[in-house]
Amino acid sequence: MLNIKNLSLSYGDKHIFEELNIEIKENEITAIVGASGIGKSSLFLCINQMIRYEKSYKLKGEILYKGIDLMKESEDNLTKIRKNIIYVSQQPDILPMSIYENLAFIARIHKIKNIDEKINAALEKVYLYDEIKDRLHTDATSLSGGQQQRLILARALLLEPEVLLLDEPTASLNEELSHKIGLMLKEHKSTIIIISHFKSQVKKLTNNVYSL
Amino acid sequence: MNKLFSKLLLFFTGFSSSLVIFIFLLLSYLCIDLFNLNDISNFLSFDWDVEKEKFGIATMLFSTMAISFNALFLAFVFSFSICSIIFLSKNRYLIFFLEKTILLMSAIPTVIYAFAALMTIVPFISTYKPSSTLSILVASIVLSLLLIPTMSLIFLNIFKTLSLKYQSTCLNLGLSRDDFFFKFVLKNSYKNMTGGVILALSRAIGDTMIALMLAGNALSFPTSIFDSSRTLTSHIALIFANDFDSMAFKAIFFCAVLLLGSNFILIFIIKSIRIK
Repeated sequence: MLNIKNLSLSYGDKHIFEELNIEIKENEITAIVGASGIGKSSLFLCINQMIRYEKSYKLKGEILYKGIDLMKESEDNLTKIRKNIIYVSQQPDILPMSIYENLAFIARIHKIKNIDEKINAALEKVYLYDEIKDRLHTDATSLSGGQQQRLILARALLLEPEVLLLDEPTASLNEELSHKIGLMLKEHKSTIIIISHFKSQVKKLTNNVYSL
Repeated sequence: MNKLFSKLLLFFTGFSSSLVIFIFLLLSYLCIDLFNLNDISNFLSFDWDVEKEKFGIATMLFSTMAISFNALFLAFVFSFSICSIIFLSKNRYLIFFLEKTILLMSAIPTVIYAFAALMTIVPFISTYKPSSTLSILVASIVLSLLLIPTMSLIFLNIFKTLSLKYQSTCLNLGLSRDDFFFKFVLKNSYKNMTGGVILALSRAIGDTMIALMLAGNALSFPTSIFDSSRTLTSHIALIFANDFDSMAFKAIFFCAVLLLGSNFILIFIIKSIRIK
């Protein structure tokens, strides 16, 4: 599904990682663990090629997605590919709109049908629907940190991507919710890459663990 | 130190606000005499004839609005186009050229624009319309050149702020740069853009030099954009330069009250749009 071959990243003179080789299997969860600042989030930027918008970076190697080298793709093609490789950041990057619009805006752009039904389903999947069903049209910034994190996860699930890049998806959640979201991800049928600080956390989800 | 600085800022803000209010009250006081001698319909009529004691400023008010709104329309079209190109273009040289041109335009004195227009635009329009020399059209075109940098810098600032905050999120979700600009940036910046347009309008209404040099200053009511006309600001400048202590001189204080009042209204509109 996704093959990372001999990938090296540096910013200026600072090497982030070198000669990285990772094989991501289709419809399975793969975890990448490592200490803070080791380049886990940067790896996600390399995979969805948002690294191109960073300054003074150097990237070598290959990132093969269904046999296509993403590093050689044009920006127009990458825009189409990014719809299928959705990155969910650690900091909830909600848009300045209502809770509903945070989901519907993206759904409309990608011409998703039955938007309302799919939004409700996505919110239910992340255990958020019951908490916010009465205030879907209020400002999304009024949500707590944990709710915002689940909202952006719901937004990613709504697009039904082939690959989900999850950066510490349960960092702001309590133990019970973390467990529930973990189970949901395990049952979710798509390729998922999770990055985390702790091996023990991701061990519950998968045996495919890479250490950076 | 911060507290002292805050108090100093508060003092200067309060002082400036009080000064503006004082000027408004002073101008209102100085035109009180007019209301004692004439009824309000005299000032709001279309006739200005000092010998017949007619001090109607409606023609000037109309010309001010005609020139300002024409200039605003032209400036909006150009500013929006320039900013869209800067935002969407991948050509770094073009972006650099447009950004520097806007900055350069903001540094050119008004009188230079007016002189350049006298040498270029006026003869050009006269070629096609011999009866028209200095007119609403010429003043509007040149005034729009004055507004383009103001409006463009405000638009660019709004676009760049939104881009800095939300571009990665939107591109991460599979939006193209075009989608991001047309469906997100524009949708989320219209309130602030409206503020920028109104700010430019207040600048257009208050401009004197271009109207004075290029609008022709005729007192008759203009019936087309090729006609000569006089704005409130040029009227104030012309009466002030030629007259003193007459009813006509006092009438220009009423023009000043109208100008300042219109600026207050525009600022109030900007504030209420931003609060919403």
